[in-house]
Amino acid sequence: MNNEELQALADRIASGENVSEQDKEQFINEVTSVLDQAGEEIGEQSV
Amino acid sequence: MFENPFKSKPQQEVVPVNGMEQIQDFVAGKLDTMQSLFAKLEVLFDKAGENVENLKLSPELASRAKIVLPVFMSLLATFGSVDDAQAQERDRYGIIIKTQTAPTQPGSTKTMQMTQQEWVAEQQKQAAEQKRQKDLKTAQNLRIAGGVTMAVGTVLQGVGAMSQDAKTQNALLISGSVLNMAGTGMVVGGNMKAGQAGGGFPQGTGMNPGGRNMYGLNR
Repeated sequence: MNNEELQALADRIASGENVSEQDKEQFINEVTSVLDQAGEEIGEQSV
Repeated sequence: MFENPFKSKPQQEVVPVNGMEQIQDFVAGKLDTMQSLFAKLEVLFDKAGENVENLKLSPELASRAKIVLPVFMSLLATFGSVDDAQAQERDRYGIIIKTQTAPTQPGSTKTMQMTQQEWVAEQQKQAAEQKRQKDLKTAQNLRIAGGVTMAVGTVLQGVGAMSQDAKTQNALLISGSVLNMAGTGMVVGGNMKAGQAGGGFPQGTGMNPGGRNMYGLNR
């Protein structure tokens, strides 16, 4: 999912309209991925 | 590199629903996941403050974070509002259970309304009892005051009687003084014997006006 698709997904989630179960799962996984990667990068910077 | 684990799954049918209900349902079904993500977010915020840009992430990750994190934060806010509503409901039950031992069924609006009515009735009953106790105390105070008034009245009556006696005594004292004066007069009159005949008392006055003086002399 590129940034444009991710933005479209985020917009659907934010509006709460036309959100499928797959959208929900995908968004949660995107958030999880971003936070995990951010934690890794921050951890590397700390070291 | 981020990989979408659902990329190969078939597209599900999209069913338009109310936006708020959709989000709340979405959040309620992901409580454990949301709490786990929130804990991860807290770790990042502890290091970078509330501005995601301060995290100094790689450009690609930063761009994705700018897209998903604001929405995720709004979902957390929705999660918080749902939790607040539940907490308020618990508080309402807590108040009722605390003051009313009647069994309640959480989530049952009908039972809750009945319990609230019973609670209101109990409050009114307690208020009426408090008013009755207050009136009773007032009546007792009035009776005491009445008794005190009667006692005071009795004392006043006694004082009045004493005053009457005092008046009598004063009258007697006055009478005594008059008698003393009369006695003095008598003594003075008695001293008349040292005076000459025709002296002292004017003519026609004295102890026996028109009568005889103490020497038996006719006037």
